[in-house]
Amino acid sequence: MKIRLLIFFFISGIFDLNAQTASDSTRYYNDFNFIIHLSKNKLFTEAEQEAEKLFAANGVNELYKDSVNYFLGIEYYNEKRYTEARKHLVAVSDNVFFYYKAHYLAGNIDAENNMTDSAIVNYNTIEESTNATLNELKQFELAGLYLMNRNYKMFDSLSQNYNFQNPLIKEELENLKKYNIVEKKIKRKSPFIAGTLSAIVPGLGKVYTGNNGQALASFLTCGLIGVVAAENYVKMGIKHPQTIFFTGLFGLFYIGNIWGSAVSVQLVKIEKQLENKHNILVSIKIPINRFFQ
Amino acid sequence: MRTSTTYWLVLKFLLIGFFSKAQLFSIQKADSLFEQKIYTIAATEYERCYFFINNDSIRFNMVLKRANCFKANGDYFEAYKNLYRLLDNNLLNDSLRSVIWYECAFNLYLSKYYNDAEKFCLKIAGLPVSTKQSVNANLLYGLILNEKNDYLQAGYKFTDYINQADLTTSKKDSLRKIVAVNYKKENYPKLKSLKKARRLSKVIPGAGLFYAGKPSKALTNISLQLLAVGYTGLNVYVGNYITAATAGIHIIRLFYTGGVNQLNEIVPLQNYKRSRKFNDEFKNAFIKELKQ
Repeated sequence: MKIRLLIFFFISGIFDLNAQTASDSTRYYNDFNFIIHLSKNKLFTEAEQEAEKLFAANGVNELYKDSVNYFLGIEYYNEKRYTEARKHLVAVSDNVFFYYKAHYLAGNIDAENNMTDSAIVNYNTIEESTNATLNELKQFELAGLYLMNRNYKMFDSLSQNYNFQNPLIKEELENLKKYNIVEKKIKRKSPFIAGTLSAIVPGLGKVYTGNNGQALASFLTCGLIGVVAAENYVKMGIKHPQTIFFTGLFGLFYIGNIWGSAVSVQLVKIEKQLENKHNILVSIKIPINRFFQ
Repeated sequence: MRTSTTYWLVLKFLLIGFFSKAQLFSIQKADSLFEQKIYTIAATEYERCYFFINNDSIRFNMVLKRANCFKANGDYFEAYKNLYRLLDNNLLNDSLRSVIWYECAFNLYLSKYYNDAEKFCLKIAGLPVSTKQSVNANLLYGLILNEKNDYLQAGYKFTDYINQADLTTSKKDSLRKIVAVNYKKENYPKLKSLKKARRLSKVIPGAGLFYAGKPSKALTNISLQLLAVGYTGLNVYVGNYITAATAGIHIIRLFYTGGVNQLNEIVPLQNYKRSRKFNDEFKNAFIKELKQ
């Protein structure tokens, strides 16, 4: 009788344990499904709270964590909430097949947010794949990011030494090479020359930097105030308050124009660089979007 | 003994099965959280119930309760977004439609989306049923029309509400009296036309500001414009023609256009203050009488 009772409790205990594990597993599965439901319905605050609870539970399969991070990241990405998207996408581990997509998208976000260094670190940590195209993609993205960072040596090294086979990557690499040439051709005009030209004739410095509209506006404004100041000087004398006011105003505009011309040299350069950077960004985004969609 | 062992084992598995399912969702838990006024967590629990329950009617109720959580929490637009999920539901008959549409209109009104709230009130008016919500929709529609400054129609809607509402005759009479006093044409808030104000200011500088009820600003603007004209005239007098034609004209233009353009802010603000005062006073008086 005692033996029977012992056997009963022993068997019952094993079943209990199994049932508990099974019930936990079912609960995690259901929690996971619920989080996906919340994120697909853009109920992000609630999805985050539920995800936090799931992650804190004991014995949750890592697969669930990765899946939750991936799905939340993708939904945030689709909603253009890139900071949150990045946080979840970089948390996806390499145990799951969507690891590559998650990390490439995170890299994309970094590149878009001008965090090229962080994107390079992220791409360098991506595991080598058995799929040759994925490895090519990694090298291509790194090349693009080095170009964005103006690290021409690394760009040249990657673009020339790596044997790219994929036609799409090859096509975009050609574009990157063109942007590389453009980047190197963006000349720095002299702020001194721009300022001197504007000192000789107000607005001429802006013609030198290529801003003809601004040049005309500067010339007319300075000219008109100058004429008014001259009229006051001739008719009312140098000591008259109105003459002092208009002469002072003319001086302010004249010096401001020289300063503006000198500064605009740098601004024009930055504008051109930004345009080229945007083109590079588009080029490095195209293969990622094509491969993973 | 064998029977007893089998019994316990079967019972054990049944209970485990029951508890593992019970962990999925609990309407009671959600209701209890709602009663404890923990609305945010209650809303998530209702969503969990909605997700795991297969019965359409219960799912419908869960979304409704979830919307109530947001409403109770003061997040009216979120409440509307949840109610919106029910609009295409197959379970909706005309009575339920009037409930959901009324709730949508009410939450939109509280979120200050008056045009959208009005659309739901119009929809309710088109329903071939008379429910508590369809009667209340007249009151809500009146309040919405007040916010839209359509006082004539608002007065009609309040009268419709009083006629249809299930109230005592004396209550109806006192409510009618409030409406009659407030909705006489001469008692409407005196709202100013921006177009008229701008035209006045263009013809006579500062006149638009007088019309908008801002005499001090009008006098300041007129003084500044006169000073600018004086300055220009003085320069012409002393022979500074270029200065007069450039600096003088520029200053006159600056004050003239400034006087006209500031009406774009002043007139709507004045109108808002006046209509707000009228709307709030009427709403408070009407609802106070209704609750007594």
